[in-house]
Amino acid sequence: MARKTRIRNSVRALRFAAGEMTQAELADRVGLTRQTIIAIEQGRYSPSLEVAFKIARVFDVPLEEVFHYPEPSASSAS
Amino acid sequence: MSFKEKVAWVMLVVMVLAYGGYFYSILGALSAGVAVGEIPYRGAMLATVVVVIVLAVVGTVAVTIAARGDDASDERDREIDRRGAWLGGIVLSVGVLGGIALAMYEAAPFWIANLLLLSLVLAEITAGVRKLVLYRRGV
Repeated sequence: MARKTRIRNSVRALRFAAGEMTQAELADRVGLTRQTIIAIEQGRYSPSLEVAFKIARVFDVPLEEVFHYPEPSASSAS
Repeated sequence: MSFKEKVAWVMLVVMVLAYGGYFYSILGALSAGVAVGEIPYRGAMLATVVVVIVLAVVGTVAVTIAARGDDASDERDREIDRRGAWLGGIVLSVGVLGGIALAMYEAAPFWIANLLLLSLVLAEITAGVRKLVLYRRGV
């Protein structure tokens, strides 16, 4: 059972929107391995802030269109 | 599976097989009632360490060749490596403290040497397993 990070991302959708860019190409352009792109898309890894900015820059969108963090009120208060 | 994950697998398998064999034979001699002073552990230990180094180099080279240039590592690999090493360090520290205690009470060199080697091995195995778990489960 994967311990998922609470950070959500739209990397996969953005890749497809960007002419079906491959995981390998995105990995190459931001200096990660393809396996790490896979881990990010599956929510198994949150990249460093610097890499997050690089990913956003590849897709030419603001950071928050790539990565999302749920509001505390979004889930029922514990 | 990333290059570094494959390397971690190779190291873990080498460690478990080689040191497992060593400690299996040592335990065998002990349980057969051989006196501690008569177990030829020095040669066996040194030979095992050399075998581990050789197998680790050969295994890593083999994985590197099989990777065909796809042998990059990134920040995720480094983070996983750090977390694994941190946990291994704790195991090693506990073992070293045990070794110090044995030396203080003038235990036979056999026990001190073997406890220290065991700590080293358990530390590496702990680090390796932790890394593989983090690769699968997520950081």
